[in-house]
Amino acid sequence: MATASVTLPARTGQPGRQPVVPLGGPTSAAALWERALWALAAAGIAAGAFGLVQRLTLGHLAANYGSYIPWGLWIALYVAGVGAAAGAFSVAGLAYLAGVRALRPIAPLALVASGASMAAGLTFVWLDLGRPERALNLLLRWSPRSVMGWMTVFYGLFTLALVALLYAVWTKREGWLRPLAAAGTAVMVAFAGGEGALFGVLGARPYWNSGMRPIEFLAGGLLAGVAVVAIAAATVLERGERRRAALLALRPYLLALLGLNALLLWAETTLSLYAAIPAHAEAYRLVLQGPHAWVFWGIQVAVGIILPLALLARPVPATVGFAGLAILVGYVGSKLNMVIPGLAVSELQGLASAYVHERLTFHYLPSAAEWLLAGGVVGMALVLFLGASRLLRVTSVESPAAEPAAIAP
Amino acid sequence: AINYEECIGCRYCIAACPYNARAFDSGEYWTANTPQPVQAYEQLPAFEYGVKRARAINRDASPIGNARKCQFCQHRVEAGMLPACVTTCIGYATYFGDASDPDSLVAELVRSPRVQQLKAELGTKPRVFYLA
Repeated sequence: MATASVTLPARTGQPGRQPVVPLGGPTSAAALWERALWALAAAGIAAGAFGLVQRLTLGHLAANYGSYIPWGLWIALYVAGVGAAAGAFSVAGLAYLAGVRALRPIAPLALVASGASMAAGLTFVWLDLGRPERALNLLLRWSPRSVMGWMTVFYGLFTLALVALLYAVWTKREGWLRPLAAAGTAVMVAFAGGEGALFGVLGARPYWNSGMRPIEFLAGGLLAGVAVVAIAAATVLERGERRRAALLALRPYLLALLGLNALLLWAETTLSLYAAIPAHAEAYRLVLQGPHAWVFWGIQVAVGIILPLALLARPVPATVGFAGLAILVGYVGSKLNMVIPGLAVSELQGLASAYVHERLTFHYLPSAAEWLLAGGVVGMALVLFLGASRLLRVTSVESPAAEPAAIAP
Repeated sequence: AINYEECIGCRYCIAACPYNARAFDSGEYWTANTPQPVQAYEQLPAFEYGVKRARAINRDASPIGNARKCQFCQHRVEAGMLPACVTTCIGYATYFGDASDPDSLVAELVRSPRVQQLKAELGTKPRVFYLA
């Protein structure tokens, strides 16, 4: 692991350059986790390199989505990434706005995690575009009637608020924290709910067309983001009492959000199946009983809801990180089950058999290139997270004078 | 109509279409992966929206990477011709014309009690009418 020289703040009485040591010592649990995550990032990026070469040389021929199912793995991961970014930011909101003191030491970590998640999500959707070089058209030809246009604005505002808040934390501008956290939270709620609106406004897709979708997306994003922060705190955070208190402080939020998400899932699913209107129910039947029903029952429910509830049943800090990981896996499953089934139901009866072509089918499985590139983007996000965490020293929380150190020129 | 010079290929319109009528051009050829090489006719430039469009990834006027849809052969209609599908229909089963002209054949056909439309209840105001 490369280290850098850092000039410590003057008040420590230690002028001059001093070497940085891995946080907590080179063999501490945090340092070992950090090395493991760097290795995971490297593996992801290596895999992603293959996927990127295919994406650049073959364009969308390397992917398995088509004209009947135009969105697949990358869009599901885009939604997951930006949702988790919203939720991770909410931890900082709890610390700086709601005054949850136990979360204050990990608020900077949460902001870094939020930024990395947002970067991953936006990279996914950018790579998914048919003409990514024209992405700026979303701003240059912005329309107030476009939900996607509004999302672009919110992403930009959120990024500004996030960067400004990180700057305020780093430069210890206490007076900026609350207003920036408030502004960021407002924008966060807008884009997290707006993600649901992107799907919910489509009247042509009964599976998506519901006023609950913005609520579900916001609730899911909050859960996933808090889970991401729990994973980060459990792995790379410096060991000590503040870390323990922060993990225990995250637990009730995870439990509450798990309950809320389970309730919304139950309500949306059962109400749609009860009425049994074919256009509405067909996609739900696909989710619950189709060839990929294991994604719903195994990943979304068992891993994503039941397992974390069991892990969080008792207030044990060691289980919070594992619960966060299970929640994150379940969350990705839930987004796959949001995007694909909505498209996998034919709009017109008989259309499924009208044409015979691999792009004109209602069956979809991500291609190898899609998976490889997904690994690469996740690896990139890990690099951003670990690099920014180290640069801003957000994982060092136990020292009474813990603060981000200035970087030596 | 889709502006091929501005479409970003997000495929949101494809997801939004109630008829699965839009398609994404990912750059394929129908005759690829067949015993014969890709046929020459497929590699000729398409003539859409009055512009000659060579197939190429990331060339500005190319349709590859864009959403595409039937535009009733706008370039033929503007030249006073019928859409290609109407011209080639072996059963003479399709008609095309100006429905706002009360004396036109299509206006007369649209007034028939046999007329049906697909998913008009979604407010799509479809311009395709079926005679049952």
